[in-house]
Amino acid sequence: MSEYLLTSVILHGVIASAVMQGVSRRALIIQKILAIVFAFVGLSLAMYMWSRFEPSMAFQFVENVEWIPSLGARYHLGIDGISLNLVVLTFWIVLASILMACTESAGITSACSLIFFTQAMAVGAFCAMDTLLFYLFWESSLLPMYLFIGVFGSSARRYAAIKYFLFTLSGSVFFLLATLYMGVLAGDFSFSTFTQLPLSLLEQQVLFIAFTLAFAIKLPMFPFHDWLPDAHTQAPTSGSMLLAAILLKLGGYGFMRYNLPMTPDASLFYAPWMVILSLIAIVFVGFVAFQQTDVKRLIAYASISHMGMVTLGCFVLYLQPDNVMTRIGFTGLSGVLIHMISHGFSSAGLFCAFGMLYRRVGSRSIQDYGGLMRVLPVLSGFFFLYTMSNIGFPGTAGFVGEFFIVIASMSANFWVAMLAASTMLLSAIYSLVLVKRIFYGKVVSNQLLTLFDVDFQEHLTLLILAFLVLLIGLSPWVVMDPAEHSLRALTMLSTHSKVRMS
Amino acid sequence: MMLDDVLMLLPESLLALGIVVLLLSKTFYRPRTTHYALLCAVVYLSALIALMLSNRLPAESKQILFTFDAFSYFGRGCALSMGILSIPFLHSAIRRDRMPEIETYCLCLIQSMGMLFTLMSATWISLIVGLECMYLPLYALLATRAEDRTSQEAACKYIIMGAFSSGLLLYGVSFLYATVGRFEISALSGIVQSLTVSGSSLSWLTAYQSHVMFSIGGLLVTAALCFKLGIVPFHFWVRDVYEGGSYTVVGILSATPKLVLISVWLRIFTPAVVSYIPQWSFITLSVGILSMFFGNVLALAQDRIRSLLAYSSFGHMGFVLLALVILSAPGNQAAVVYTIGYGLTIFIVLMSLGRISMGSLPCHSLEDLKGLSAVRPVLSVALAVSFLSLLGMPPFLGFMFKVNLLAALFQANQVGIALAVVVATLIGAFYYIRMIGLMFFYDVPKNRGYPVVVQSGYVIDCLLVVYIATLLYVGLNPAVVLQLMSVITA
Amino acid sequence: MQTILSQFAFCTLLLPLLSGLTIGLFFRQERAAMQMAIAALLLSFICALGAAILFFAYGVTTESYVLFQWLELADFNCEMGIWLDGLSVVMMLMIATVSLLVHIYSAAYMEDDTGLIRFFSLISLFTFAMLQLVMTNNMVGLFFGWEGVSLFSYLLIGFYYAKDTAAHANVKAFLMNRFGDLAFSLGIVLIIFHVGSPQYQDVFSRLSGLADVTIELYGFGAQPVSVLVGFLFFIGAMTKSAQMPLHMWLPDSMEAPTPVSALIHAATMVTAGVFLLCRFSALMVSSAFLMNCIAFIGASGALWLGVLALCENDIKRIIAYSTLSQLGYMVLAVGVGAFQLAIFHLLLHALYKALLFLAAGSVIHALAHEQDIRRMGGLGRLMPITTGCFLVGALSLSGIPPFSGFYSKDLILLAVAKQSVHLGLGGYIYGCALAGFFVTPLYIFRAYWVVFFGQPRYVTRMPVYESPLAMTGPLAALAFLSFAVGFIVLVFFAGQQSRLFYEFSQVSAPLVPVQSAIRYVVGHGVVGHAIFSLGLYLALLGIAASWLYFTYRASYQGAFVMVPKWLNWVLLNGYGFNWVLEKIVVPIYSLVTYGCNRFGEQVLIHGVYEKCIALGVRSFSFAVSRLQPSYLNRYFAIMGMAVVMMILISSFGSAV
Repeated sequence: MSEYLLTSVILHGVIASAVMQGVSRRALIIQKILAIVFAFVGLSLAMYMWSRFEPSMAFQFVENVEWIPSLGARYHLGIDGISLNLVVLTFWIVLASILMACTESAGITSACSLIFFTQAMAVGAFCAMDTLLFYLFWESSLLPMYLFIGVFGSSARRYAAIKYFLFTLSGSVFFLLATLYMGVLAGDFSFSTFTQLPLSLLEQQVLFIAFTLAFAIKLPMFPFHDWLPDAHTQAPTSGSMLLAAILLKLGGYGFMRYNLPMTPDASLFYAPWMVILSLIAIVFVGFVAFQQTDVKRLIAYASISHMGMVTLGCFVLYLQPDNVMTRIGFTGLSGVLIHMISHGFSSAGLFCAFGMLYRRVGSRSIQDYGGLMRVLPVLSGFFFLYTMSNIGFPGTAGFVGEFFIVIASMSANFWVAMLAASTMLLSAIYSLVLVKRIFYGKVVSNQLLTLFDVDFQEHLTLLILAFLVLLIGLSPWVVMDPAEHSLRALTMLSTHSKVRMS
Repeated sequence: MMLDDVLMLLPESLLALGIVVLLLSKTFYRPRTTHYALLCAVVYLSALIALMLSNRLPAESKQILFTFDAFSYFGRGCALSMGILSIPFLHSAIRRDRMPEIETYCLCLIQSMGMLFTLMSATWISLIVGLECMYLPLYALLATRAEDRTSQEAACKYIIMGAFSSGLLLYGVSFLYATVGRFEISALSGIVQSLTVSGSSLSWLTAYQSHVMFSIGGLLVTAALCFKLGIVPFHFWVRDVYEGGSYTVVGILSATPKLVLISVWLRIFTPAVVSYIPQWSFITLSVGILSMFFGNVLALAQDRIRSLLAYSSFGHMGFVLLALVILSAPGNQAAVVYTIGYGLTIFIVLMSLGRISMGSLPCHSLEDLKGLSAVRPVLSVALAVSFLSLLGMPPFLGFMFKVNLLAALFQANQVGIALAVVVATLIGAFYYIRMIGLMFFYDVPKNRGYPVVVQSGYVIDCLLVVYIATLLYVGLNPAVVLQLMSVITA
Repeated sequence: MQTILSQFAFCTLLLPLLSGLTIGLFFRQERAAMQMAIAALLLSFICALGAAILFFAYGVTTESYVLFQWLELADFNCEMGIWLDGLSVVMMLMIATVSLLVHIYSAAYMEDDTGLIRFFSLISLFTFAMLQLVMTNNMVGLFFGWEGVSLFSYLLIGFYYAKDTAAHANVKAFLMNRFGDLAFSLGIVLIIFHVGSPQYQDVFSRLSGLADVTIELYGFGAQPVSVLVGFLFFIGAMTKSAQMPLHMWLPDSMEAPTPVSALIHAATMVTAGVFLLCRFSALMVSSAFLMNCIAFIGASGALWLGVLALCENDIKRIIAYSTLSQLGYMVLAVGVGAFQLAIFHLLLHALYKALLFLAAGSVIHALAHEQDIRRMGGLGRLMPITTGCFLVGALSLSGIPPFSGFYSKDLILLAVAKQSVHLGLGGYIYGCALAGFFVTPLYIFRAYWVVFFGQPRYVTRMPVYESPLAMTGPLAALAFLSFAVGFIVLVFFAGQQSRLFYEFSQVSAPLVPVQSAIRYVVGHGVVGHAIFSLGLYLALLGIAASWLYFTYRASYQGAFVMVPKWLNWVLLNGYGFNWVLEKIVVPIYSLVTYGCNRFGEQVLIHGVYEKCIALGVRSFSFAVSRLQPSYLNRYFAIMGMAVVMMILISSFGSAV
């Protein structure tokens, strides 16, 4: 069974999406049960894969079939420590967002089918070892999200949807050019050929810029982040959970899989610029987040500053003397992986918790909330836990990644590490001011007094995400054991120079 | 010997027979409109079967007018299948727009016959006859909605423009004939070397003069074909014709003729010929890039569907031209495949848009598309899928053919052109996405007066579902199609 | 023996965590929660006591036990566990005792409040966090405890979440602590990066080696790592122990219920900074300039923050400011290198400060949550036990010999006297320390006379009774402890140079002849030493001055203000530190963020995408589409021109 495991994991999403679309005429209860059952089936598949995965340098569950002979593209799937964690993250987040989507009263089938289709495409992208196949999954994950924001969003959804689509498309189109260039040059599209492909420095620089354009827009790195706040404020709760937790990680995964190993010399060349950009993302966006009056927009800016940490972790390994590079680079990259996973859970949790508030109160601006601690104690408890993880409080998931990235950036330069660590203070400022305005103080309007606390389904969603946030915070080896070897291999690849070889 | 030649031309002759029977049918009995559609379908099918049979006949034939290689068979097969595909849409269009049945079907049959002639023509004479035979019915078809002033204006413009381009083509051919002295198109590349040595057949021309005449002739032919394809410097008629004609007519007009013109282009401009015309690749390249950018940029500003599709059509033709410019086998294959993909998609888009404006729903401007997904779910999904395929989004057919085209460009290491293609797609993405947005994100405006979810006929829905399935299937594994096409255009 | 010691230590640490979690998550009714919390703390105290006894009886030096492995990366192996040495055992014992007494006390004090379940779970979890901070065996665990302590203090300050002032105070406290944690975490990261592993055994073995490793600070050239880490740790300690420029959060945190103030803002949390400085004393000693800064800040805090208490009218804020000044003394002790004396003073201060807070709490409880001393008075007769305990606390605070406060404060004065000669601004430092001895009894006895003597000025519906046994019991216990512990510890342990004083800080501070100070005291006997100590006379003078001013002239209205009007305004506002923070630092931050958001984000980023790209392309396409002709003759003109152009390019192109 295990040799077709990856295809079945991808197909699960597609089948689930088709079935949900088919069952749209049935009663609401059947739709909900079916959606949740599909989500759990997917999760069990992922957990089975996680248990069958033995940590080693090589890729596991590899499937390699001829796809387009004229171009040399193959249907080549494989999973290593990094993509395993991201796939498991995807299935957990999809479960949470399905549970969140099922709390709606109206027809949930099209929403659930879009969620499952996005999950299938994201999982496909994480498992693809063939660059063209990766691009196919990467682009098709754009479609359902565009429809999700456009159809189920709130007031300015059309503008946000088109903006999201155009931003991501303009980045990924250059990625397609770079892939085809290397593919035609090498005759094959698989990762191993691309990582060994000898390239001159100029070629590497051009390819690096093309890759960076695609992943920087998707990740949202600093100058290209304008689409994320709009997309998050307009997307429905489960949509922004998916977007924040999974689709942003595609950008980070892309940096780790393409920029570092395939164009190492160009990465070395551009590393100072990327570090400066990510530091700006951390500090500047931290300032901007403080001024937001719309809660989801604030959480979106928080995600941008967290993703700034990811790019910092990726490129800081190039900034220090060669002898230390592999040891510290490894810490940096493992910090990046843990930070992506933990940000996935904590930002999904934050969106989920605020989604429940939004469902009850119906407004996103902070002025309409106040003193909810008395009315919704359980929900405020969970919201506070996710804020703590967002701040990077030790014991929750947010701390581990930041800690390792700051260690890695300490090797580069003390001031870089200080600016990186300043995210602790900046995120604390805007998060706690948000919590104070929403939960502390007097109840703003008597309409808030009539709110009911979380019901069983919401409680289950919040519990799942809270368990995961604390699990990674207290025992990060859960994420690190499978990924250690592949991260070591990645550090080796990204630190050896290609120019001398050609 | 005679029997083989006759069998070779069986498909065309069957079509001619069909036209005659159709015209005389009114005299014997008063058939209902479905009879005409069935008759037309029978004619097409028999022609297709005849084509299959003639494929197995011995290829050596003393014919000088026509060539029977794999590419011409494939082209003729495509033309006939597009004809069959257009019948159900024509049938409902006739009932809705009160177009005269017999004349419409006859014109379509004549047009298909013209296409078959052009596709298999080997000499200039048969080529020009075929082209005229293809385009004249289109002028007539365009003018069928006589009472509508815009369609009259469009028909007039189309006729005059068609006359101009045919004149240009004939003028160019005369130059070529003067220098080469042979009628066969394939003879062009064979004789061109000898031109430089012995001068032309006309004794009084020196070697240099014959070279100049040859290049001018080649350029005139290029200009004529660019005009018919609707490339930028010659694109003015496209918007008025698309705006004037009804959706069905525009569908027929825009889909198959482009494939025919591309196959003619491939037949004429072989690398040998082209090397003899100085700066030809520079001119074609600049024309292609201009048309790509102008097409996409102008399409942004349109608010009527058909003019938007018109401008995007010469955006796409710009891509195809760029693939043709590199003159490599994969380039030609990519161009033909992209044209087929584009032709099929634009045909279905225009035909299904025709379905929407059936009855009380005029669907001319983009605002009319609002909330379509609520009223016509299958139709709107088909439209959305084809827009995404035109844009080049991965799970669909357009993406694979665009990647194939870009790979061909990279093989000829034309990185600059690939960048231009990609940037143009980016500019063009906006209006495709806006149309999908209009259909899915808005709810039905009050004044549209949509009664109830009107299913647009059982046949059309099945056709559309099959169409979506093909787009997805070919989009996901195009290996079979690409392999077949590389064999054909080798 | 090792296993029993480790089991005792693990029970001490984990019991509060378990009880906190079970209460918080599963308990529904308040009495059961109360009993559960107190029982768990009692057990934890007993285990702490047992561990301490075993530790000192068997002469164990340092023990480290591993609980579970947190993360193992390449060569970075981090195992969470417990590290027992003199310092951590003593601190563990102090935390356990104070926490137990506060738990018992708050059982009675809080019974008319709502949300008791939340209160007891948070207090137990706070105790766990403080124990974790003290007993952990690696740097990451230290950071866990450090942040956990500030989180639970945030939650407890905001216990009365409906009050806006509480909401403001807890955010202020958490953010200022978070600023200190930023510096602290950078210090930790530096150590982990240079030592390679976060475990204490590796860190302490290579701590002294850090002095010669240099790090390139682009602003300050190459600096030795130990100095940089020292400074970072000191900034962290300054915020956590509320030192001079960063102390504004402590007076505001009096919004918390009084038992919380007793536990957190008097005994345990605020001492974490001093504990940190003593734990990494090897780093502090590495640079004389750093020690000088510490001494300066400690001394100025001791005096000037003490002076502030003179004008406060809220009884809790008076004791809060007294905590600030005593913390100043501890940091001063660290500054002059007397780490053991700082810890000794820390232990004793925890006891009598908790006593003062709890006594104030019982007064507030009796007067139905009245905190302003101007509306109290004449309680001496009605609440004899509280008055007695408050007196004991006040006497030991001002350092009168039989009470414990005297021993540590006086030794610190001695050490400062000997060391200030070598320090820059030594005179100022010694002057501040001395003036502090006079000011401390002044403000504490001001509160004592005003609250417990004179005419009653309170108006309460019910008559005032002495607090129930649950409150007076812990008071009495603390009173006994703050009377006896100082003397016992000094005589029994300091005399034979026992391990308590020397092992718990790795370096026996070469800077200060501490041993000689202790031998001097022990040699001349307590009474002999007391006669000659300058500090004692100043303290007695302070008591007499306050008695004279407050009871003898008894002009209560005017009496409370001992200083002229304008100085009173300055003192009431805490030298304007708070004003600087609230009116300058916060507005500047919001201005900067407004600028970033308004010009950086909306104009630069959003504007570029909206105005330049989207609108640009749109208007260009509209312009071009207007150029399209619609007349036939113009078509022909352009097309003809195009064909001619093609031919021209072709013919001349080859020439070009």
